[in-house]
Amino acid sequence: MPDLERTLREVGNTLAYPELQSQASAALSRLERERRPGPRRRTVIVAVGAAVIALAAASLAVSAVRTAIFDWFGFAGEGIVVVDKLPTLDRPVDLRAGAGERMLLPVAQHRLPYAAPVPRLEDLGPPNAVYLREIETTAGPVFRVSLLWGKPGAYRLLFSATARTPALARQQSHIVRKKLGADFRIKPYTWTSVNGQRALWISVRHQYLYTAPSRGFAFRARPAARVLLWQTPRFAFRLEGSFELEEALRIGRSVG
Amino acid sequence: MVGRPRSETKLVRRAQAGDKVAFAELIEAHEKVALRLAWLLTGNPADAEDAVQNGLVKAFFALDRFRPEAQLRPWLLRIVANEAREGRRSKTRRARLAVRLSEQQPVGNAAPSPQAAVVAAEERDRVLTAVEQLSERDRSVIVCRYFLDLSEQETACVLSIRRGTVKSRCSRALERLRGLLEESNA
Repeated sequence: MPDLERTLREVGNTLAYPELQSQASAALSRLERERRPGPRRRTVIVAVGAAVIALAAASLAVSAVRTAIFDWFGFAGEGIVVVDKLPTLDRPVDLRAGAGERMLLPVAQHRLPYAAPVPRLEDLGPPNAVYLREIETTAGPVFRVSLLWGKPGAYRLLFSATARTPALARQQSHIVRKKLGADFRIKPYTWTSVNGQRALWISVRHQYLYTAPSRGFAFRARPAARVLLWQTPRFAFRLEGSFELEEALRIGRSVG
Repeated sequence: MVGRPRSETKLVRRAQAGDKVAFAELIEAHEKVALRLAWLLTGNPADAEDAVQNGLVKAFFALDRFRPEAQLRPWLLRIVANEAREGRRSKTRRARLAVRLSEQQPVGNAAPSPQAAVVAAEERDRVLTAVEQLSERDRSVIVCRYFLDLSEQETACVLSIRRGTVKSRCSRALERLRGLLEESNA
């Protein structure tokens, strides 16, 4: 086809482009708000968990992380806030706080309206503790089951699965979906995949935010280890531990 | 490729000094093609707009690293293209040229007969369908060179590859495209 190049140009000339809105004003507006990144800027991140994340941005806005940049990333029940400086924690909080009620795995499975997926690796052994958190939202309950290997103060692995129910989706719909100014320059995370699903690997020092059941919507923070986040159409997963990415991926791939 | 207007050089210098109004004037001339590029790479208007917005902010903050002798348009388009690809990766969505052809005749052509116009339209539609089947790498170079009519040098800058690579990649992409079209004929 000798005229292929000419035809391609004709295709280019006759494409029906959609109505694309100018972004100049929005970009300039962001430039007014955002500072030019300095070379010495320290970047730390706070990973935000909990299904009631809709209120996280507002809570954080008045806390120590006023320079926070909230980014949703499309993960159910998880968001990322990038800050210049990690907030100082009042006191160490172990990871049982906010994890929910401790129970045996079969009991948790029985209480859940679905079969909760768990890591299935022989060398991992059974978890040392299982927690179930039922978070009441205006759209119904959101369940999160957490499996702990090790001790709360010195854990090897913490795995949690949150069902992507309509309640969770509705809760998230309250979030302003547009990024509030995600800083393109800051990449304290890397993208990877688990069984073909998009996954986020966070290996830098950060904190995990959660809602304390008895404290309304107040957020508390605890130091977090390395984290792998990913999700399937039905569940959002969080894997936390002092492992390398390869090990995290190996565990993640076994979840079923 | 046309040379950079002298006024653009002045605007770049003012923008490099932090003048956002000058930056706004600069991007006005290139935003349309940036939006089209982003859309062709993402296949989604909202993602394209996000990519352009992020790209413009990033470009402003990176202006101090912009070489005065370089062309602004390909530099800006490269930033937008990177944003578009990054955004698409983050959504694990394969970009598809979810595009359609308008009813209009290609610019510069004499009015063909109704029958010839139908044949030409069908041919363009067939070519577009074949382009959609190309790999992202092949499609990107076709989009830049033919759909957006960027020069080889501009395409090289946008895709962050050498000019020679643009030639070879384009040649291979055209070859694959011909193969796809022959298959569809068969």
